Amino acid sequence: MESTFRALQVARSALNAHRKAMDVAAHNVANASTEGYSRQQVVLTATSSSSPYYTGQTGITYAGYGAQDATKGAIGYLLGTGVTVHTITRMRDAYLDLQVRNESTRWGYWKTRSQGLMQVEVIFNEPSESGLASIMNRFWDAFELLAANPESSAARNTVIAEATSLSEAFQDASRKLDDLAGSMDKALEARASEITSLARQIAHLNDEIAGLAGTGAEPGDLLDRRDLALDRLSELGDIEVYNDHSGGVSVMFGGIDLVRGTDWREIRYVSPGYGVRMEEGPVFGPGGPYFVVGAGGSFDGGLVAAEGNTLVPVRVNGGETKAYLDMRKDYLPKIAEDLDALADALRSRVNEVHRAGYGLDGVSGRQFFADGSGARDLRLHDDVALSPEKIAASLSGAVGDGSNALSLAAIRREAVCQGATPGDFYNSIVTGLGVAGHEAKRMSENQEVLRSHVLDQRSGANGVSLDEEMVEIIKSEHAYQAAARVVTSVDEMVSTIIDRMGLVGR
Amino acid sequence: MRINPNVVAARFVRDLRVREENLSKYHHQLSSGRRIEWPSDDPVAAGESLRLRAALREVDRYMNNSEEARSWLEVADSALNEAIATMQRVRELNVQAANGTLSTDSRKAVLEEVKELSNHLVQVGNSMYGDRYIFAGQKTKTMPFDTAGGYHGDDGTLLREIGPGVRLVINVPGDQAFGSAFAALADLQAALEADDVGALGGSCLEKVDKGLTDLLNARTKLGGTLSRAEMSYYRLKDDRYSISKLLSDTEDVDMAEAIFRLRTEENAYRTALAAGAHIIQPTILDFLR
Repeated sequence: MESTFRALQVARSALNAHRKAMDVAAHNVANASTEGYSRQQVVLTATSSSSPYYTGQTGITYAGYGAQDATKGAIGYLLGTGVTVHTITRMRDAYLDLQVRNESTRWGYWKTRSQGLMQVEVIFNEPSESGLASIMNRFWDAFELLAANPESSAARNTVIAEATSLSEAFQDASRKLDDLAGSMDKALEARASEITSLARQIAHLNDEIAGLAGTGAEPGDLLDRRDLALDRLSELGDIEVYNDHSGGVSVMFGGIDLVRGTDWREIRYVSPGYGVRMEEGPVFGPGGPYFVVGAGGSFDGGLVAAEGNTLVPVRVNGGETKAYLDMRKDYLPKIAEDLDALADALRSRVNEVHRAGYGLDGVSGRQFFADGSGARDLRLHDDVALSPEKIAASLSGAVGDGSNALSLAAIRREAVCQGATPGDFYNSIVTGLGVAGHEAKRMSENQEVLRSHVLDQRSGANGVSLDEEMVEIIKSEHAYQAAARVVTSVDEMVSTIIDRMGLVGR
Repeated sequence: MRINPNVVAARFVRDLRVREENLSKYHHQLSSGRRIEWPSDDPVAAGESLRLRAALREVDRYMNNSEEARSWLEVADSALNEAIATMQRVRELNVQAANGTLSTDSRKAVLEEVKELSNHLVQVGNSMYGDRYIFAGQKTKTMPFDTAGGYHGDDGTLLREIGPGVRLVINVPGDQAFGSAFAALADLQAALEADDVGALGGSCLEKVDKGLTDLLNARTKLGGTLSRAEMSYYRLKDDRYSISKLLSDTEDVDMAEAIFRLRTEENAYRTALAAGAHIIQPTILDFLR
């Protein structure tokens, strides 16, 4: 005979199960706005009875129930024993995660590149009255003015003033490009630290998750935190994620192992020009000495994975770090080189023409610009800077002749810089910058859209819908109330037996 | 795709941000009047803008030079006119003095006048434009003629650029214009003092005529240059207008269009706000008892 209180047990299992369902729904609601949270769902299963009930009718066979018991008869039915929480699943689509991370890597690259190029545009500040183009125009114009007024000290002082402006503009631009490179170095150092920190977190989470793997439970919140770390990592560079058999993940970053189980590697940034060579042998670097492992040739700066005293180059292929590296190692040096070439061309040709002319003192063979190399070094020669009357405007030696000044002004039309006039050469630098900036802006906007789309898809799949959770809570509440009613019912039924049976005539 | 309120909210915010960026952009265009803030806004136009600004500055300089050349040439022209008038009077006196019937006293009077005219010519020869001597060649700070008519300038040319590589010669060296006139005056004075009627009627008159001819030639030459300077000025003015217009088309924002865009964007923004607010607010909580 079965237990009288059987139904109570069933009701009790319902109370438990639905209370847990409510807990899960409450957890979802509490974390509705938590970044990276994947909603959890409770999976209820009906529990089955331990033994079948016999009908007592012998001689009848029911198909599918196997052998009968000779005395008890055919098997009649199986009675359920209630409900239990089978598991709490975490709603996460690995494929969507992959898509989000791929798009994030591209987005990280273009967004960072676009910002970097905008900073270069700010340095050049064109088109404007204070940009280098206008300053160069005023420089040539000052010589034109001098050509018509070679005797005038006002005209000479104007030449000095404009030439000084020009020199300062070149020096300024050169310095600001250097500063920008420096700030990119710092940004890369910060990113390298961030990557290392994320690697450490992931390894640690792998450890914690592995610890819980044996219990068969799915540690949703730990997994969420690990996925969040992976998301951020994908913005920084190109990653590949592999699941290993103990619930952990292995992560490859820029083609090298970053995390493997509970092991992780430190990432550092070595700036270009540090002179670290890729060969075996002691080389000095930050906190050095280091041995760099790899093929022959040279390592001209970038991210490295540090293991004790060994550096392994990391070839990032996307993400924020690649954008910074591209700017730092390719784009900025090229622009600085172009600026230097322009300054050198101006210095050399202006000096050449100036030497052929005579100052007001009748002396020729003087330089206009001081000796030097590059944009950083463009400045007036002391002779001319301190004594404007020494500017060689005259070709014949007479004070009223301004033809050398005319020749100096005419340099603006000469192809002195890599086959182009100074104005055209500078224009091509600015236009090139504009084209690159325009492309980066456009790509960045496109990627923003693409990334948003996959983020929305993922959020839709993983995210908490408050409406849904409210419905779940109401369901659980009703089920709980109903189960409580069952308890009350059974209680009344049993109390009939206990209180009212065997009381005939009372 | 499964949409939940988070997705709705995220999209709403994102779309608003795009609207706000656009609003800001059009507003900035209107308040600055410029279409291009950075080269990346429109790289080709930015390059054009730089090129046109350089061209504009050059044209302004050439216009300036043309104006200045014109002024200079007008001063020279007026000086030469004065010189020619002077020499014409000298010629009259020469002819008078060559007349054998003139008395010695009268000839002395002529001499005095010729001396005065000679001094006057020296003054004219030493004409200035501002603080520079216009007939001294390239030695513009040196007084070209001394009281005896001796020349201390040089024969250099003064150039003014009125176009790329186009240079006007705006001067005539003093000795080319006045040299023969002073030589004639010297001879004339000598002949008058010596009462040499033969010379007066012969070689003196020839020399005076040569002096006049050289002055006339100088004036004609500079007159031609003056015409060129004037024509160039007007041509440059037209060029300047064209370049300015092109520059404005390239750089400046079309006000009407910008205002239209701003208005449209404002409407779109309001619509987005209203629509978004309408759908992010209701949840099931509003309807549960």
